[in-house]
Amino acid sequence: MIEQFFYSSLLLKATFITYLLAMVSYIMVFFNAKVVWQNAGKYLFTVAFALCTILIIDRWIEAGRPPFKSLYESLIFACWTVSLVNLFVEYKLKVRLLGSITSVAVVVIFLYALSNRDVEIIALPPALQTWLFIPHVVAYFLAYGALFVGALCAGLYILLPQGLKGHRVISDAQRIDLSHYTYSITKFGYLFLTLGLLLGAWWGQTAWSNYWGWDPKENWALITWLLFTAYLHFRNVKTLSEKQLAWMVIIGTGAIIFTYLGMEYLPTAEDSIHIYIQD
Amino acid sequence: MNNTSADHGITLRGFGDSSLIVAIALIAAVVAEQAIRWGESGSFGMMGGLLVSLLIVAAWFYTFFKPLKRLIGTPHFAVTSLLFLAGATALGTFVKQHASAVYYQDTFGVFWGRMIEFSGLQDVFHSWWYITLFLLLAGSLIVVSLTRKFTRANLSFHLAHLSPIVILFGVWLDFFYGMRGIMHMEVGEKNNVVHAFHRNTNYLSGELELDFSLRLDQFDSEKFDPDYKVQIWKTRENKDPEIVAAVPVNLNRPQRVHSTDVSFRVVDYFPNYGWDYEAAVPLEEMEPKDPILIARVKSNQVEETIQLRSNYARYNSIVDPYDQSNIEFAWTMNDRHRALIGGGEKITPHFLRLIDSTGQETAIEATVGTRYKLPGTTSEIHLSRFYDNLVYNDEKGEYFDGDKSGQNPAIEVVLRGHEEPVKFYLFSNFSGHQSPEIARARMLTGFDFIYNYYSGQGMLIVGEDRSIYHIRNGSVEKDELRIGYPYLFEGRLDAYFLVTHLFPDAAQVNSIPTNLSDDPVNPLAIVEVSSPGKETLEEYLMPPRGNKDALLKIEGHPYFLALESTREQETKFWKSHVSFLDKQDNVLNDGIIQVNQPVKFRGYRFYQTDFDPRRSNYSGIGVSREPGLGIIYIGFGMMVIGVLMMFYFREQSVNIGTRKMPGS
Repeated sequence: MIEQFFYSSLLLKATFITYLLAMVSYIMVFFNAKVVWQNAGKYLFTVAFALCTILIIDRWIEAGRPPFKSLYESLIFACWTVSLVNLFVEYKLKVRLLGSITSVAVVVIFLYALSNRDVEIIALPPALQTWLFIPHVVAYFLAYGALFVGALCAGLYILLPQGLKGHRVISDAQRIDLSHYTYSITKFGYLFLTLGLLLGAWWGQTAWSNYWGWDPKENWALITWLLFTAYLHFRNVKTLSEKQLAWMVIIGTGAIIFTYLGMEYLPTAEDSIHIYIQD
Repeated sequence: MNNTSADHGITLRGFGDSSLIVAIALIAAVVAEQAIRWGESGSFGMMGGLLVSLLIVAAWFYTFFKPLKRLIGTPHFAVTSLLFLAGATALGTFVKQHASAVYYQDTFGVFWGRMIEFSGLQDVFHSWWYITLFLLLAGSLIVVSLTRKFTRANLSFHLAHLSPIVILFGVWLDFFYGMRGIMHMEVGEKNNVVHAFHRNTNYLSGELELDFSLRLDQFDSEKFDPDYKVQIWKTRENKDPEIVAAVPVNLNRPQRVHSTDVSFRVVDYFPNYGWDYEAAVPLEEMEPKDPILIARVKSNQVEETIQLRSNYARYNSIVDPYDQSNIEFAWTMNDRHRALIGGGEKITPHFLRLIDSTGQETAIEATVGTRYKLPGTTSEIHLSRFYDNLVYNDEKGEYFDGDKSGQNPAIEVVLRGHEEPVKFYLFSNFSGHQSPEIARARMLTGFDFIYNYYSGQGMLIVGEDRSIYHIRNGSVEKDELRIGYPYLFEGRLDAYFLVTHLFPDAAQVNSIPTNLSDDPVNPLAIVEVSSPGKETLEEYLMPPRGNKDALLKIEGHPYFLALESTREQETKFWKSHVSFLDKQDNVLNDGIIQVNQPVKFRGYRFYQTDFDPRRSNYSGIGVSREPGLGIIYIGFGMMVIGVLMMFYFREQSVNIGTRKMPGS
């Protein structure tokens, strides 16, 4: 991984280091409850997000195609969407504290991306040469980013059902209903999960004359969608406790991570046409 | 307990009851499907099987009608079928699909193997029980939708909840009235046979004929343009080397090699290089130590640059294999050359050239019957036979003279003076030809043997007096050697020999790379490798193309550099140009089919789905007819709009944000 980092562009190094600094600032809040750490985390994370945006645009120009083809590229894009949702949560919903967890997650994803860094830029094969490529991927990664942040929020709720009452940094805001925010974020993610799934089917029809091929990746996309559909209904029929609902979001997001990265472990993987091929 | 309302007082019991009904429905579906199969295979017949399975389904329906009626309109039932569906779908990815019975029994044991087959787990997505889940879900959604008033406030609810039914209806239409298949096309061929896939699988199930034909007029495929980069590779013990980085060719930008103090930079780059030559001293002052002649030769479409070295007997002549023109370069003439050009009207002599281990040449006229003792050895050679056109007979395992065409002139040589005589054949047209016998003869004597036969024509270039001798059917003409002038081969307008450079001493000549064009077909990078305290090296880096010497090793470290591109191996597009023909072969329409760009004709869609790397004129055209596709897309739109409205544009929000937290 160090070797991969060594050969990376200056922009990538700057992006990663800024994310790392944001993470450190965010975590400092736990040890030294000064607003300055919280703000430093927020602003550094914003700068890192801006750098990540430039990194993606730079890659787009260098590759001459949307940079969503390889596992590495998609992981960097995942960092971007997770950051986007996190910033929305920070600035709009004003949910503090989530940033500390999200920043750790983004750094982990970034490290995973680095360890899978593409040595060569792969050209876009004919199957991916369509206008559907961009909306399908963007919809899915917005969904993945949101649901991932939603799951982190749900995890935080399970750990701290009362919020961080009395904490000096947090207490200036009113007590946070983390379960409610989990729902808001998940709702946003679900909308794009639906859009991504349907755009995928449309694309399948255009490329392979088949909107649904029962491919493992397609099936798992359906499973994740069904799980979050169930979550939304469970929430409305009020049979499960808030804690159980939080667990459902975590399980659903677990299924998403499996859909994204775990398909090669399935016994049916060899029949799939969607799995990232690694050397 | 009150299970009739979606909003009030429903306990977990609703999920329990729903699960029970769904589970029993699944079992009924499994048994019913087995009943059909049993009917088909036994004497009972298809109708009997159908009757039994209908009875099973009816019995389930009758027994569970009341609780089903009570539950089906509840979100509990819908969510239960949803979760069952998720679980079943997951099962279909954990168990390998469409494998053989032997595979399941080997993997899971005999009992579970049989259970998998019985329950349809080997083909989950086409089993009755899986489809039953969709039916239950659709039924639930229909009831849910019907029991809620169709008002503007409920619009988003209805859009979202009716959309799966609309989609499933479209799927149902496709399943029963649609088809998918593939047409195997060759360029120039017309065809109306579709190899149809079994419903929603990629397994072929039969053929059908379209009432029009497809003709593949042209099939193009193109690869991406090459994109050469300097790759850094790491060598590993007992493993293949691993690529660690690919650096774009940016002139003069230093790049350090990780974990070393070595850095390199590309100081010059030629996308398509050739060589130019420059003499270090004026030609007149150059001593003729190692004369070299550089020329372009074009023969039968192949054009290449060659170098001839007068002092090296093995490298001073070449043969054009198409008409056996022998071109030889000599700085000064020797006896053999004088005999050759002095031939006049007499038959052109041919020679056996004997080159000893020091590179010294002796030539003897190659007349049958000649015996010659190799100087400094105890060996004697005997030229035992001449062939105008030597042919090998596979059946008899022997050589014979095919005809008098002179296509493949050869001599048979017998080497004596050793334990056993060695017989070998030398070909004038293939001076580099090797055989075990030739190798043995060389080993025993230390001599190389070259046979030259100027049968039809040839050229002798003499460097010292700058002349070129044309030998044509025994007559010889002298000409002045002109640099840059294409000397045509007799009777072949497209083939020539053109001298570009003539230097008396190769050691005094620098070869300089030059760019022939901007096409990145044959690149060359000049790379400067430096590390502190060591001499900076300048090296040429070219695409290896199988040649290990083209790799640049980083001395003292487990790294090497390579100039390489991977892109041009990747396909940019496949394009099938097709025409649609009626029975009288009139062209009804035409189009270009590409991946992601299907062409529609008479309700069918034609896709670019297959190609064969070994058959450039084959194209696999996917064919499909989906009468439900439009309806499915409407369902897609309904779903997205419904969910969007429900979440963000609904006046009456559904309890969002109004709920109390537990413990508050």
